[in-house]
Amino acid sequence: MTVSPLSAEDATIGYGRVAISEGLTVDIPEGEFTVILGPNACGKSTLLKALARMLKPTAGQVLLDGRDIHSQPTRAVARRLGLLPQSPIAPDGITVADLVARGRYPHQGLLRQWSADDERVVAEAMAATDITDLAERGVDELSGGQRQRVWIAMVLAQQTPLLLLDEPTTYLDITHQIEVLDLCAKLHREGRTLVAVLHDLNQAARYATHLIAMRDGDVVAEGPPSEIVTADVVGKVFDLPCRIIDDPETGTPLVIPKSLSSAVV
Amino acid sequence: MSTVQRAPRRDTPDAPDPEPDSEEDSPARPRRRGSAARLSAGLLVLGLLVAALAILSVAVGSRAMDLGEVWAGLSDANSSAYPVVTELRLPRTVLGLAAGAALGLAGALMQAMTRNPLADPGLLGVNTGAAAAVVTASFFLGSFGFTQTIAFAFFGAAVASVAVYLIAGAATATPARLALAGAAVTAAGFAYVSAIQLMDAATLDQMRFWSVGSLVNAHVAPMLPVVLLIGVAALAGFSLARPLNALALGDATATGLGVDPRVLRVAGIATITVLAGTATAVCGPIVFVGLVVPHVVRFFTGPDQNWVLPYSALTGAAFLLAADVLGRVVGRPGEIQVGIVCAVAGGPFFLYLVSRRKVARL
Amino acid sequence: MSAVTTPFRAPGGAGRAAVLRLGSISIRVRYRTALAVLGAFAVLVAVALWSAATGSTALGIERVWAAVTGTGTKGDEFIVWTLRLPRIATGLAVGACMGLAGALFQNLTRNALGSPDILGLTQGATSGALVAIVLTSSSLQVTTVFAAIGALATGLFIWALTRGGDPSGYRLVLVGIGTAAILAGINGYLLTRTTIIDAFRAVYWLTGDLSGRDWSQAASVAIVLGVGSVVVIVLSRSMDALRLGEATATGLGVRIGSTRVIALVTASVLTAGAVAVAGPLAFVALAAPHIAARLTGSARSFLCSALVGALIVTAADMIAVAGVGGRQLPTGVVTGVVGGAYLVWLLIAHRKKGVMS
Repeated sequence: MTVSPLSAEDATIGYGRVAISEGLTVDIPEGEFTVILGPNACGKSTLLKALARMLKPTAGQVLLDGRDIHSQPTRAVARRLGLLPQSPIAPDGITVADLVARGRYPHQGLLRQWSADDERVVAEAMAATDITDLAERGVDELSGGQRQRVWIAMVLAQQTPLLLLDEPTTYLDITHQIEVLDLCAKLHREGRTLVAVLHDLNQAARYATHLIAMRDGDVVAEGPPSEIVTADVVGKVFDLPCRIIDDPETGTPLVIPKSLSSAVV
Repeated sequence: MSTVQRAPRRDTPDAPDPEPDSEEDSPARPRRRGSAARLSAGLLVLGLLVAALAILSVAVGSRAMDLGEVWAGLSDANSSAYPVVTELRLPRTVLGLAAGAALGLAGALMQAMTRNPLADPGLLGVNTGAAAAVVTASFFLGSFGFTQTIAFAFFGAAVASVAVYLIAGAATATPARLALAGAAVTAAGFAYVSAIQLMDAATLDQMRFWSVGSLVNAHVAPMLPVVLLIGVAALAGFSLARPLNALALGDATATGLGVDPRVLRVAGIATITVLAGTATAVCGPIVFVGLVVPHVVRFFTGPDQNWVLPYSALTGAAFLLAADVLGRVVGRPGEIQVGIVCAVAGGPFFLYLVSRRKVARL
Repeated sequence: MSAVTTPFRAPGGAGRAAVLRLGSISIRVRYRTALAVLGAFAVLVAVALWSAATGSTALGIERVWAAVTGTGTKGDEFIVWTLRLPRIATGLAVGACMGLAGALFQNLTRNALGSPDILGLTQGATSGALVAIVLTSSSLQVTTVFAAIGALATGLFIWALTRGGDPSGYRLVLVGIGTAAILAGINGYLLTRTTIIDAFRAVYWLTGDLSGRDWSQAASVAIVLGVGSVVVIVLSRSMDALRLGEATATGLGVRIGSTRVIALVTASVLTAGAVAVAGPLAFVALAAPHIAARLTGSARSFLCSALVGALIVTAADMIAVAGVGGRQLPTGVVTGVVGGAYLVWLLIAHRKKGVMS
């Protein structure tokens, strides 16, 4: 078994004095597309923030490559691990190309402002996300789906083997959701380790290769979707009675919820 | 008989995603800032506080007297205390109340309208406009009475705020442009005021006392028009609470909710100009109340303008009265101007709040 | 030279820009920023020369040049070297300091109104100066020192109250306005408690003026400017990344806490240096970054902001020397009018588009 590149070890995470998760241990398996899911307020985004070193555990630690992530220089971490926050802020009037180029920050310095490498990587990131034609457009004139692809391109330009995405499909219509998830799947196939927080169970089941199901700040179940997405686990995590069938499109598990109000006892 | 049983749910069902999402303020958000009942009670307490301070303001002054004397001063026109109590302190108290409420309310309106915590009524050019008009009059006409000062100051304040609005782009004005235009007009006006002061020592001497903010001349102010103006404008201001709540969600959402941001801004600017212009005309530029009171109020009320506006008005009144009384007592046998007391006594309290509590964003 | 200039366009990068590469060194320059910087610089040089050549005794460029190179008359040399050049140099350095400080504060607070004038540093310097003027009725030198101490102490105070807790610019804004209000109250009190003569001196100081500044004062502001510029150059990339929000900046590997502290300290020192020597010079720190943003079309040129600051002060000082009706004006009167009028014009001219609107 390979060593996990990113893990939480007996970590207590929360905001201020409010602990969301206590004694949480999670391993992110190398080379997998991990999706963290669970009901609202289960601590999934909090876990992602802790893994991305935006929150420091009050007890325990988060390990990147076996060492405490907070003991490593933050720029060095930024070359290993990229993060797409839930609602990133684009400065007024910034162009697409400019924003994507910001992803090169951890690779640049005072005297290394724009190397040939930077130029190539940014071009590749924009090609991979299919936004090359938008390069000169202002970010604020784009549609939601385009904007999200631009942000993903920025994180790609960071060239990190690990990518953390906090609800990358929120606010997108169904087509754009699939587009973003297809892009994630492609990045995974190309060898990156992905961790994403998703809301949609069926999308998680379809795209993830590894699932972490959370509730009340604890991990309830983890493993491949075929083992995790069962009527039993879904019931436990979401309090949702359901049936599981095979997705006719992909063969992955598909959750068919039963109506809550007609569940006559 | 069928019992409908819902699966147990832990979260409030109406919140789509109560999970903390933005890194700074998330832990504070789930905390409800007070129920309607609590806030109503608070409003009542504030009202009583204002009443108590008003009584105190009549009873206490740079000349010490006991309550019997004060009562005599109010009821008996022949008593020795009558000139002090009824002719000086009573109008001063009424004007302090009105000006404080006007400044607090104007500040809250201004911050809600520009969605900028740094905005105060002065940013509309009200203070600078008033100051510019007063120095101009003082320079060219020499000394003149307090009633004329009020008229000049109010005129200047109105002209300046209209100028700011036009420069910001009139109907196309955005909050940021409004703020910038206000800052530009303020700077130009301030430069003008300094230039005149430096050319004419008599003007400087008059202005250095006017510009700290004081209620010392309140007894010669035309009471009825001032109170009427502020009262009408305050009613107009309170009626903006609901549209301002919509505006807090952004111009687009406000439009979606049926509020025209452009109309709202015109109404807001007009109201603020009357409120702050009148208050500034009467007691000079007291920046602190308009700037700080709304922040303090939001700590307790949260962002709902239906509460923020009345709380700001009452807190402004209470604060200005308290500062005025304090200035009279501390400064005996003279007095310290109310604007100075506001800043020096209220400032530390504000800093204490800011560094202790989670701040409520606009 | 083996430097390569690659003019490049999208795809692959940041708008229209040129890149200079030499081995592992690569420098990127946006065309529009470069144009704005060069333009501002050219105008600045012209204004500085013009202001050396004119004034109460019109010398003309030739005589100024002769005096500078040591071939002019003794009288010309005195006017140029002792009266005019130090004053111009002080104005340039003071304006640049204020432009930089303003840009830093606007970045730090992410607020269009974030400037040392609104966050209390100017008031702190004023308090220091007033204490010197009112209590000790002392010389300009003592006032300068007291003003610097006042500004630095205020910066320290604000930092102490904002450190720890939430790292957003919002708390900084609130602490700043609270501090500014207290200090303004104290200043008002000091002004009403003094004789009219001291009050006159005080108002004169707090309008801001450059008259009678000598080389030692020019040198001290220049040193502050030099140190501040180095820090800003090093800091500018992380400040830039911070504009994407705290979450993204963390993801990119920015040390948010230390970036903020260093920026706050640097901005305080720049303000202290400038205000101590020239007085508060209204509006320069607030207007310069906005004007720079509108010239460069991007809200992040520290260099351009410094140049615009220098330009406002130098141009204003030239007008101040020319004066109105034969009377010289204090520089601060003109900076307010010039900066205010120019910003008003920009606001009206760029009604539709524009950065930071």
